[in-house]
Amino acid sequence: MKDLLEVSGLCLQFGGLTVLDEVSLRVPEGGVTAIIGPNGAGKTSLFNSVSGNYRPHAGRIVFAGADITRLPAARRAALGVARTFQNIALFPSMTVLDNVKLGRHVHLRSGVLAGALYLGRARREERRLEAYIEREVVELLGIREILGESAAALPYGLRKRVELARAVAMEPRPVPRARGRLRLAEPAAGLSHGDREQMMRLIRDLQRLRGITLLLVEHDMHVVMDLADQVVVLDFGRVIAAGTPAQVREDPAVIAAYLGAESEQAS
Amino acid sequence: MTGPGATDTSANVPSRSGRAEPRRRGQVDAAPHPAALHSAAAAAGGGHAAAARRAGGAALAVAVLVAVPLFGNSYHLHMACLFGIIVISAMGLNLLTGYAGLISLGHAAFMGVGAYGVAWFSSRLGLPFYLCLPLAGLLAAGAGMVTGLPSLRIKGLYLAIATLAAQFILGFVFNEWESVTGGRGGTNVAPAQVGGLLLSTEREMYYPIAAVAVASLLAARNLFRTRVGRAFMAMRDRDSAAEVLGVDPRRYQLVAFGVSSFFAGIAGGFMAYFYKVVTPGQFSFQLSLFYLTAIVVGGMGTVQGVLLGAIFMTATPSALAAVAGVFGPLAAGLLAPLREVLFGLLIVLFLIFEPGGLAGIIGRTRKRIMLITAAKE
Repeated sequence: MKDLLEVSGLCLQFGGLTVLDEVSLRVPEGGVTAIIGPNGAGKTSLFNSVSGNYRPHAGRIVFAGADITRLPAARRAALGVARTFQNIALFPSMTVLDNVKLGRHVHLRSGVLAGALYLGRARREERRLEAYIEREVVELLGIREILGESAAALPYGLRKRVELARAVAMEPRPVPRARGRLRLAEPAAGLSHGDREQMMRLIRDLQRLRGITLLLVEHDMHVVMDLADQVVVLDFGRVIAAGTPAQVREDPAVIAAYLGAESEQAS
Repeated sequence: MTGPGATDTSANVPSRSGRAEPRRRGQVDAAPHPAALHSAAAAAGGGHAAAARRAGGAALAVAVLVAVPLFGNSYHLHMACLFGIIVISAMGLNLLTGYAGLISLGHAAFMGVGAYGVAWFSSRLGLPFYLCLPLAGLLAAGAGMVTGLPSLRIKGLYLAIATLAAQFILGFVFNEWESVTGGRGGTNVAPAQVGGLLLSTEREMYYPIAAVAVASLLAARNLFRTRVGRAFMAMRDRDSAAEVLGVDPRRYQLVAFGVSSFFAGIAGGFMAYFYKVVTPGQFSFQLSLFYLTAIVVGGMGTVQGVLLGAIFMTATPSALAAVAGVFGPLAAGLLAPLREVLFGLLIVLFLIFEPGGLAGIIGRTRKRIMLITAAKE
């Protein structure tokens, strides 16, 4: 399999603190790669370096053959590297449909006057938006029945699904100049173990359906074991293991790194 | 572009979603958006029947509005005109406070800007009625946006105080800028005229006011099914999440102040034409409080709430006067202060017990009736 993303010798420091230390990894095209590691291992920093939010001090990031190390986030997005925002809180007093529509706010243009008149341009834009959501989101996530409900009235699980629906709606169409499609996802924040796994499974299925390569960040290795094709383990800013989930699970360095976390969970 | 700290905050935004939503006071949680209801109904396959019902309702409403001058006496028409003006202005305040979540205690001052604008444009510049009103709206919108500037830096209580300051500063200008406003005595406004037709009495003013009132309700409803309206509601609900989605709260706060004050300016302009005199006393803080009461009682963040609030606020003073009449002249003297006390009390009670206002009560009742009829079938 061809590598879509190749990170080599990445170093990142905050003040005197080394967050990433010579990190190298390859993300094969079309699959799911998970970055795992205990808290503070540098997963999110790696994630932010790839998305373009952090500037690494050394090393190279190559995406589909192009060096993107110095490119700003927006340019990377134009090439096909983007974060998914699947856990931004919903707007409680708005309907599910309006929440999903807000996911495409930046793709819309109509202003106050056009909106107030709701003739011609604004109406066409709104129709197109509804058609897009109908085509790309509604069926895929099974939210047809709840489109008119207010978000606050939904049970927790459905709310999570609407958040994901909005993230899917945000997804730009394949960009003409894109060299590949890589999505960076960090579904962990604030979710319980089971919800996280369910969320990741949904994301994985969606990306697979659209032929998008996925790079996940997660601190609990059990969550990603049966859905990632490849696992990269970070500890103290270094890659301590990489391979299939089965290989990584048996790796003595990984077991050692996770021992603290394991005993914490047991107690 | 963003330092590590900034990125961390945005990454932490989602974690709040995990907890149960506290129901925030003053917000309508349960009232579904009309446009979304429409889509949901269409999705369920009942689109045609609903559309036909809505067209029938609209035709009936238009027929009633057209028929009012044919059957009403001049008192009825006077009240109908006042009602229309209240609808226009309350819709403006509801855009800002109900939909965009920005409290304004200075709404009356922007109406005043519109009224003085009409006086100036018509008397001094000799502009026709149909130009004076939109110009007055734009003038008020400008004043509103200047007042909204602090909203880029401050929120909540502090913004409310900034709008209160605008109320008193503009009131001072109305009183003291005598060459333009005529000072305390105010300034006269020539009756509106369209072609050879004089719009002087309440009977003649009725149609323009009714038309603009209907137009402003439709404009607001339309706005809230498109991009800008959604952005208003998003920043009211959660401004940090809105920002991540690409909604720039600072921009939309200014837009909300502008649009809201435009409505206020038009309403104030109509007041100028209606009373044919503009005085500073008409646009006092009491009037701002009046409009705040109207939208809180009617229902914040809904178009229906504007109508209900306007009905309530038109009926209450007459009802109070009738009650006071029973108790003789002493009670009549207490009427004005009693009104303010009642409005203040209503705001507090509705915010505590019924943040959805009358619209919320009606929406719930209707849902209950639908459930009962559905259960019978």
